[in-house]
Amino acid sequence: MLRVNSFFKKRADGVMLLLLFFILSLSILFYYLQNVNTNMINNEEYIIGVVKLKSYNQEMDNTLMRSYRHLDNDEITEITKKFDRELLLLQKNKMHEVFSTEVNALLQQIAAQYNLKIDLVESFKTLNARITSTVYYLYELQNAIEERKDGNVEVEKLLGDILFKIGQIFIGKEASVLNIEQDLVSLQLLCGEDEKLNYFYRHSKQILADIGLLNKILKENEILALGETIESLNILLSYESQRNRKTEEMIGVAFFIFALFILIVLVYTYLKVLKNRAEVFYLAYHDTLTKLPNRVEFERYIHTLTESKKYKGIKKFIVLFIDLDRFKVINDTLGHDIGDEMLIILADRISKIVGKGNLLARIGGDEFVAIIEDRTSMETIDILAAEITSVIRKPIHIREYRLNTSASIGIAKYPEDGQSKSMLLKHADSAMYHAKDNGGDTYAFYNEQLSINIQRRLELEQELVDALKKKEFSLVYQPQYDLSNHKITGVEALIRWQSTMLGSVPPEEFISVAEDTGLIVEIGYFVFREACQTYVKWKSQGVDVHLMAINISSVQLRQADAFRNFKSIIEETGMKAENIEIELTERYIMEYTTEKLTILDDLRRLGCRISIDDFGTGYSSMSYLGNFAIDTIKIDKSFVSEIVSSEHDAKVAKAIIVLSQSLGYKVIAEGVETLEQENILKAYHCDMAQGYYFGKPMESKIFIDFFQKHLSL
Amino acid sequence: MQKNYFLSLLCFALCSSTLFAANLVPIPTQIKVDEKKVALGKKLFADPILSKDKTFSCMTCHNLQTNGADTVAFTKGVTGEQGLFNVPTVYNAVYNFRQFWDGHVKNLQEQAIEPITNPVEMANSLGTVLEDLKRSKTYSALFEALYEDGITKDNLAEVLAEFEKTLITPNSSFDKYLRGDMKALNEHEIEGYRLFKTMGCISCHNGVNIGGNLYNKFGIYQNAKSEELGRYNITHREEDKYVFKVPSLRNVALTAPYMHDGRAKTLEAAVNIMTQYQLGHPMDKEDLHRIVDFLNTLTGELPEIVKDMRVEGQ
Repeated sequence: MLRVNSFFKKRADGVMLLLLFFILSLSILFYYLQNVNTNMINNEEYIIGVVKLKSYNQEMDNTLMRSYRHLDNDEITEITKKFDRELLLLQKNKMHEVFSTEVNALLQQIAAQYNLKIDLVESFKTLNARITSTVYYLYELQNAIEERKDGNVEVEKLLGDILFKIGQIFIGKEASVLNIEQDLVSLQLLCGEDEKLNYFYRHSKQILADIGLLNKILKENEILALGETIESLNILLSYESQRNRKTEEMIGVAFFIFALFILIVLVYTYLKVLKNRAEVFYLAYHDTLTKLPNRVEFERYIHTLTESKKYKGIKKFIVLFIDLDRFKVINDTLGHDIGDEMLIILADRISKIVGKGNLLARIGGDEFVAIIEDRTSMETIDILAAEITSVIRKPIHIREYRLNTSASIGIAKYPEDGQSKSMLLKHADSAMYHAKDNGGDTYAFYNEQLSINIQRRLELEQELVDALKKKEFSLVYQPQYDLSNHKITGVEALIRWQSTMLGSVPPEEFISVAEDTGLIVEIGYFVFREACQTYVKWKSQGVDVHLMAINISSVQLRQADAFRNFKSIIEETGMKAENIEIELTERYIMEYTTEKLTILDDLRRLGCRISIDDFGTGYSSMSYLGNFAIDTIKIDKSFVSEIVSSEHDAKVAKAIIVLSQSLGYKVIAEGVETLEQENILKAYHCDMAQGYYFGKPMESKIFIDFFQKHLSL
Repeated sequence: MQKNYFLSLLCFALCSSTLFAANLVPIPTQIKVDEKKVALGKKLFADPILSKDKTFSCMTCHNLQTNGADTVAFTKGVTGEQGLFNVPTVYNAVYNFRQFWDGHVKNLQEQAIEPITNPVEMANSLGTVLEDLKRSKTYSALFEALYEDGITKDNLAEVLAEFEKTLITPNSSFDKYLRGDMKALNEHEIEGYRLFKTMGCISCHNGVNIGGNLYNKFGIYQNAKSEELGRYNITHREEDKYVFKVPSLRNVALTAPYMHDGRAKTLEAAVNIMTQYQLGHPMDKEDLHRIVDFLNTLTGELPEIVKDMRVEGQ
């Protein structure tokens, strides 16, 4: 899990960075857009300001058109004040930083022109005031002169003409055309001492002068053309703001695209991260080779089924531990490539049988486990397990090889075979080992006995370790006798174990454990030595049993220094090899011949006799019987016990006797318990017998008494 | 002859419409101001701290208790030098389109500082004034309460101007008459008003301030022999020689002597000068007196705010 997390973190850093980058560029974009917005607003304000200037200027021009008419001076003052204010606002406006120098230059020009215009307007006001007041007075004078009625027609006409012409000028006619100058000259001549005429003359002259000045002002204003300058500024501003807008638009779009791009990259990266994560998680929970769920996933799943509140105890399911038999051998001999391919093929086969509704996981090198949920009846599980074993048994073709393997399957049911996960799995495991013990290529259901067995086994293992040290072993001896004359021909040494913890443990139980743990070697030597010592001791006491038969484990015989050890014990105890009969299992003999061991030959050469124990129960190969020199065949007690009731067993026993004797071997029947058995064996010409009927296995002391008593018979 | 007559009548009608269209407007009774700034400006207006030797305040030359101006033709400044122009009244100055006789500043703010630094007036330096003000705890506190940047030239001008805005004199008899109180003027005064218009005085002295809204040449029909050149100093145009701001006639009864050089000691003398130099035609003595009667009705009420202001020093 940690690996998964750190992997994701590394990728996530990249995602985080990109996200940050995206947010950053988006923020910049927003900030920029804000800026643009402010600019736009300022721009608008600026343009509006310029438009206001335009309108104020227009009003001023309108005023200037109203010559000889009513002028509200206060109003004109207002307009100029407005223009002033607006101009000041524009000059102070921050937009100057944004606009080009052209704009600023134009604004300055406007300011300069405006100053000039103000003067023109003021002069206009002044002249206009004078003119209007004068014209009124001229009319008054004319009236006054006419009212005098002094009959000076010429004068009156002249006055009338002058006034009329002044009126014409007011309406718009060119003053020069009208030749007022001429009239004035005439008037001057006619004035004389007349006060009023003089006044008339002087005022007329003044008014003409003022009108001249007024026209000059108007012309100057035309030339000044402030309106044009303002208009140029207006146009320039529109153009510039448009251009600015375009630039800003481009930049905005660029930023936007950039941000979008980052977003896409972000999304892509994130998706990739998710995919990677998914992959990683998949890998974390699946076996890379077979693609099956792995141990982690299995553990998790079964934990859910057995421990989580949701499913605990509710769902029934079956656990199958599938262990391939001797897979290691194939792996080691043919190589891991072949081994891997085999696993893939087998995984595929098994999963097809198990089906999609059930979990099949690979939890070890050659271990699989299945959790079967879709069927729970014993029969269907039985069938399933059989199918699995059969499908594994099918030959596997890899390259030029045709391979065979098999599996041991252990089956445990939930919740019957274990309420907790650990209990359930332990029991499935036991069942699997039980199947293995049965030779493999089979399946076994868990039963309580298995647990008990294992429990017992563990106990034995534990106690065996020190049993020898604690001197818990002892030997008992069972006599072997000639069937014809009931004479004792030999003695079989049998081991007994009195454990302080476990009590009396029969050899059937602990011998196999000792063999598995290797303790048999030490125990075996103990037995061998003890038996030899006893024989020698007996002999010295006058008890001569002729033969001491000692069981030796095949495990012991496989030891490299076994022969040397046995030889030294024989020599140390003062035993004669000829008095030793080594009892071996039938199976060992077979293994012995195939494995080409030499120890038996060595022992034989030393002088020991060989007998085959429990004959008829194992692999009885006729060939080795001939190949190997043995002395005695011991018919297994199972035949002897049924020799009376079972015709078949009787026939087998008879056959063994005949066969063995034909090969020159002696035959001894084990477990003779009744007279009838004896009689039948006697009838079959069995040489010797051993059993409760004659004598139980006895301790040394007791045997001595038995022997002496028997001798007296 | 007929045609002539008819047309000239037309012109006459045209022109009279212009003349009678020029009008006089009463000044408002109230004006919107920032009270705090007004208080500070008022304090400063009467404070000689502004002058070089700490003897002159604005009040010294612009006596708000009397006429907002002085009573002599030329007033002597701190140094004893005489000023170049007759002190114009502060009252209703807010309605003038320009300040100073030659209109070289646009508003009260621009005007307020000049007397302080004018050598023939307060003869101070701006730096000194600001320093002195800053040293004063009172002024520092007052200024800081109003302005982030404390005591500056602009802020000083602003508070003085704000105070000066309150110096309006509404409710003159004439204003009441304009507002509809027909009883506010007597026969003579009404006659004076009529003459004021027909004589042509109104062509220059019009608007809310009865003047103060345009320039004109002093001495149109006669050479006024003015020592000052007026607007010419600013525009350098020949036609601007002897052109001055037309002063307001409000409270004219209080502000003798008259003209920019105070040459007219009485209203009669002033009106006389006007008719001769400006209007360029004779006036009956009767008419003149009527006009003077009218002019006397232009005196308004002094504002409350000046009631407790005193001239210091000197």
